[in-house]
Amino acid sequence: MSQVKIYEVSRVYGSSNVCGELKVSVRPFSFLGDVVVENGEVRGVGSVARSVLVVPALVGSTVGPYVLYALGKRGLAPKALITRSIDPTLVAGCVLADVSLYRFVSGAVDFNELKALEGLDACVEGDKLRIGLLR
Amino acid sequence: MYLSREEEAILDGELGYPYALAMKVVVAVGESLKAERLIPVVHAHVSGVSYFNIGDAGLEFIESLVGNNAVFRVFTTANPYAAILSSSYGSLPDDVVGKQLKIINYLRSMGARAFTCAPYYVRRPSYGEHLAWAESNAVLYANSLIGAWSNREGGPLALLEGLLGKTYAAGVHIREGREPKCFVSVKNHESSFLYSSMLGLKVGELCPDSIPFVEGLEGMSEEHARAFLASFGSTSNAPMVVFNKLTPHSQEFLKHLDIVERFSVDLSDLRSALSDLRDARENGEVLYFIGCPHLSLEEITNTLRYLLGEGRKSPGKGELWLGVSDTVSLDDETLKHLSERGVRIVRGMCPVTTKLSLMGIKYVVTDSGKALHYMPKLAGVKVVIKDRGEILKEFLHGGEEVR
Repeated sequence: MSQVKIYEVSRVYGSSNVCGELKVSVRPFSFLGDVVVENGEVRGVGSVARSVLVVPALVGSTVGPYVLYALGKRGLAPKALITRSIDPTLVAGCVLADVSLYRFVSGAVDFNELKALEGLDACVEGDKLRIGLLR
Repeated sequence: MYLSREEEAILDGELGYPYALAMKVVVAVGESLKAERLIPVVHAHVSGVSYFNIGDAGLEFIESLVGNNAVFRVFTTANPYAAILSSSYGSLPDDVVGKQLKIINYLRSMGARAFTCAPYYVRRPSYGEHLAWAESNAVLYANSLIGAWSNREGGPLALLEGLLGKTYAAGVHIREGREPKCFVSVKNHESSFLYSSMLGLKVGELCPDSIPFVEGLEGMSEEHARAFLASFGSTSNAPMVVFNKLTPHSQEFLKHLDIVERFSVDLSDLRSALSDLRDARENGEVLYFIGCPHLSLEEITNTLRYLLGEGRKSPGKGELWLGVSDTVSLDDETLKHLSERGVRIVRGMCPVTTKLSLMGIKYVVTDSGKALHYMPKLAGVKVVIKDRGEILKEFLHGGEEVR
């Protein structure tokens, strides 16, 4: 049986139980220019539709919630977003798009390590993010 | 979070989709900030109005609210929109203008009373009043100079709070959230719009995430304090500045100061940095722009007075745009005189959030630190910063640099 990596997270908004394909952006991306609303693709990541998306932070506060909303309306939003830095506009965007939002408990998360796990199953169960061949 | 019976009913959809959505968002944001309840606001001010800022996604969102009969339930104003005007430089593409007009009409149909970044000139808040404002210079003005209470509500938050007439009780809506953690002592301050503006940028850099207590600016005029705050909001996320002896009850803050960082700024150091920015001239179309944030009636009058004093009537190269609220009447005699002198009155619009490069404009001469900070990225132009008098003189002399 393959190894399962576990990270501690805390829920900010949405469901306590979400599963999807892990998608990782090692750098913060901007909602203004890095996301194509028509196909749900994020630069350097590919399609994030129905994924569990992990990113250190998001930038572009004015347009960000609207882009998330537009993705949600097209069924192209991620199921869950896990990040290090939470601000009110990100929370607002996740509510508008019905995306569950979590914060990494530790500030020392290695996003390159997470990138190596991209494509595997990722499930948030309560305060744990489990990554591996889970289903 | 505790919700009243009425708030619960709105969340359950009693007033319809837009209000239920608004309640869901405001409660979620409040809970993420550990707010215990919602509080009523008397005035909401919406940002994200320029099509260049919110794009098709923002237009789509506002359209969905209007399609579901959303109407603001408290006095609501909105930020200025993109500069959709015809000028000697050219115009914006038709599809951009069309989409911008849609945004304006939707917000008007929801009950927006004005388009300006200076809502305090449309309806001046009272001391201690709770607001849901989204424009940083306005939030800073309300908290720091009036003693009203508003967080910096980004994205769609102020829009949704305008629908509810409520916000979450967190941040600067509670007393502990208003305490300064950064201390800045200013030496050798020279009170001018330009220097106050540059100083605001510097203090914002020093205190990017915390409210500063600033000493050394006692006696600064409201106009210059406003310039300082607008610039400060470009480089800091803090929603408030406590100016010694200028902010209402500033001495009260001194009693329980819990300062984490202390800085000293000497204005002589800023002067040398400023000379580099003055000389960043470019070849190509120049725009002279005053009114970031939008001008007060007094500033408009002073501008006319200055131009009359200079005597010359027909400028040459480059237009001069004055940014003002759309509530300022074009029938106003002062504005008529300014128009006669070739000055463009840009009502309800914001050149800073307009892709001016699409109109062929290469560089902008302005006195605003906020414009200096944002225009290269948002407007796609170079920025030269000068004092207001110098800008007017240069405009009148047909683009020749006048020192």
